[in-house]
Amino acid sequence: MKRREAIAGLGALGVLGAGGAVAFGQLGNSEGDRIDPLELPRIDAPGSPPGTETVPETGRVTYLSLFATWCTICQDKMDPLGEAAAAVDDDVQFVSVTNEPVGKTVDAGEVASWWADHDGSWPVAYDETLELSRRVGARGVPYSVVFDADNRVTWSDGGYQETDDILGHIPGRE
Amino acid sequence: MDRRHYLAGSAAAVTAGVAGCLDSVFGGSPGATDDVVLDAPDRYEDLRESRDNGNLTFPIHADELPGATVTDALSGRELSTRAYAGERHTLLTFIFARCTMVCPTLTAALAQVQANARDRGYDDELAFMPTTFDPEHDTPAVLESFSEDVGAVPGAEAWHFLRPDGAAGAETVVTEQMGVWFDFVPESEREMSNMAYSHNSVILLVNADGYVERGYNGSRVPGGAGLLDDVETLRNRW
Repeated sequence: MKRREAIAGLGALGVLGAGGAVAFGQLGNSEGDRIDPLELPRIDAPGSPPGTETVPETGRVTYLSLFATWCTICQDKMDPLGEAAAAVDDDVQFVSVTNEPVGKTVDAGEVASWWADHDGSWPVAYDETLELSRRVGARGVPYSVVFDADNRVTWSDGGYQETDDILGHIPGRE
Repeated sequence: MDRRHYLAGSAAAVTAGVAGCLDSVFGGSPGATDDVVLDAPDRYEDLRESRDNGNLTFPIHADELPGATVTDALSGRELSTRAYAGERHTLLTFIFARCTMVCPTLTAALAQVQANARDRGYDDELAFMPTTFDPEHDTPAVLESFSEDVGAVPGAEAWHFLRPDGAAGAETVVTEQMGVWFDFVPESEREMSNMAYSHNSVILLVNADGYVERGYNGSRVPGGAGLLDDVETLRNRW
């Protein structure tokens, strides 16, 4: 081990760390945390035109579902998600985001095919740098987060949800 | 990649350790010993006591990675878990491919690190050793396809899916040598028909000197983002 370099590297990280803390607060997903929006590339798929998706979007309530195409629970959750997506109006941002390394080892086209096969019909994007996962404190999938119009987390949880459970956490749709 | 977001993310990941780091910058490693560079994990003293009295069976921060010689399923060659000591940081996890719960999550976290390392050109600093404890079901073809499904590149030079020789080999390598517990669940006792084993959920992050930096377990197992952050901190401090 190159001890001297280890120490030098540590110093630099420490300085950077202090700035990061000021920039956007703590890691974690506790309710009430305000999450700075991120602009994520959308996958060209049914209900999801090419472009970018800002998550969470300021000014609208956001329902975010983090998923991966290998995840069977995420697959099972597509039907309830579809029903919930159909039940909300345009004043709710309803969005799915995969944490898979799309554009690196996973092809966007494979995600688009999976999306179509499972009747996805709303915007789907990918977490290019895993920064969204970091900001909401997601350590696995599926993981869902509801944000109010000011991007504060009002609810988050992992695992499967039925349609009513999903809608039950979206303000005004309970 | 969005450079600004990337930097912010890296910074936040190390924030928690800053106070400890500043003290130790002048005194050596922020780890528990000079063999490791990541900060000692929370409750390290308790973990160390459990480890030393034998209650905790798998290696943790500052332990030397145990050596076990296992077949690399995809190349067919014998490989030691310590094959990269002196060369690369190594990530290990222990799974069965029929598992639809935590096993793909564990392996996908390794795949995330591989994908990012390839993208940023440091894949030659890392090795990956996901290990099956269900070799009878997990043939080389199954393990190759399972790797691809979770976003890994199984054909990459240092992606080694370790496959012990039969049930007895799995017991020897995974339980006895690596200290990771697993137990076959008879079909009549399963909650889901594919969940053939209960097991410890473990990821080991081992530095290029062959010492364990992190023995993540259970609720402490990070997702791809957390694992990637720890790998990048390790690289930066190395």
